[in-house]
Amino acid sequence: MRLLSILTPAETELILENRTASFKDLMKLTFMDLLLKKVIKIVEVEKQSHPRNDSRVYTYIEKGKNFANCKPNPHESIYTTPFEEEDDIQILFHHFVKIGYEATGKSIGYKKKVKKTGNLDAFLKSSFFLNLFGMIRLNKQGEKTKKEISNYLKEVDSKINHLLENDKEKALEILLTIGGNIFLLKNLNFELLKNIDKQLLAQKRSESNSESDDYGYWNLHMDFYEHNDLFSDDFDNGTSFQSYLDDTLDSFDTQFDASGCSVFDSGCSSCSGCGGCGGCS
Amino acid sequence: MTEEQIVLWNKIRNFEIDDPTSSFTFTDRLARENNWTIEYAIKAVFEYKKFLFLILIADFPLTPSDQIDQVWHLHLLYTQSYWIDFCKNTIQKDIHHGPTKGAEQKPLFKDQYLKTLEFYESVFKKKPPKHIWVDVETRFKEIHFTRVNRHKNWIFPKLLLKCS
Repeated sequence: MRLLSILTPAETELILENRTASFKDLMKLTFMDLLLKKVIKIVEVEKQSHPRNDSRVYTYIEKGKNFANCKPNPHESIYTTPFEEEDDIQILFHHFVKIGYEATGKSIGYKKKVKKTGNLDAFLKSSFFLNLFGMIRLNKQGEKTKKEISNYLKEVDSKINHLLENDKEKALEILLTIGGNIFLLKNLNFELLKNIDKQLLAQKRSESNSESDDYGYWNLHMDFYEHNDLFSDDFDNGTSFQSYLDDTLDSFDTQFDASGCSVFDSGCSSCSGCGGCGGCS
Repeated sequence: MTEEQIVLWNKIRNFEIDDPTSSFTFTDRLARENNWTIEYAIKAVFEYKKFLFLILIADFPLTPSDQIDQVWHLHLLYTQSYWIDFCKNTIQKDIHHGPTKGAEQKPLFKDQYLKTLEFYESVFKKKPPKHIWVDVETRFKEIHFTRVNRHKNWIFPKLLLKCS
């Protein structure tokens, strides 16, 4: 289905779920898609502040290898702007998700950002009030497309695992066509993605390069299947990773508003404050 | 940067102020107390690390921007992180914070701030980001801060009142 090679998963989700699409799902899909395209990447670092202390694993997000080649859509830029000023900044996963959460402007704001690509214009009703309140309503073409996408994804969902084991070429073709929309598949066994034949992938890449000079969407997703380490180690499959992301997003709704402090060892009394810093030597 | 300085900068850059097991981290608190976005707070922490690095390699006194000073103040409250994890275990040196002694020191600090901006540029080979390292006039003009209980008070920007 050609359309799915153009739409980001958040755009597809907006067609499928339109008025009921949750902004957390849209954010999550965008985040996963950027990881898939290697625009951003996850790194885990074990740190020990002192040999006597236990080491801790810190999960960071940093620029991926395709960061410079990516022209982010408005709904993707919430995740790319933090890296624009500093090349070597690493951002804790928790904070990175929160940056996105703050930048979305919650549900309506984020849906508006997703719409801004223009890819959905042909499928959505447009009126002054719908635009003003950021409401999403499908037109006739949109309803038709929604059915087509839904049916196509169901069909892919029912056969993708079988294809990954028995017809890898066909499976790869489908996966590359739907790009980041793989996250809308409910049955995909992410472990099987590791079986993708690298030679087959190289062949597909050379075919796509000869067709177009653009370092486009297609190539970005191909990079993932070449080194699909996203779902390895702690993020050993898409499901556990998504639940980690869900937990982090949910934690912002119930965040403990800590304003107290504790005292230990030498203790502390009260702070008399200071009148600003005049520097140091 | 010399090889030695690169090693030191990497140590400081990789130093983690935030506790990953905490749901309300240092950076979360910094953002909340200054009414900053989390993205801005993260950038301010990164610039704070650069400032600490500059202190360690400079042979003259330095003055931070107010934003960086706020990061420093808060870090000083996290005593375990500042004195033990950072000063003792990471850089093996104590960096003390020197509050101003009064308005008579203003010209001195203005000069130090300008020198800090120049030094930053010569070491990192880029200009300090203006949204964190503000110009010298703004740095020493916009310093009248007060702790306000926002549960009991509303805050209106002066500019807004002028327009209305």
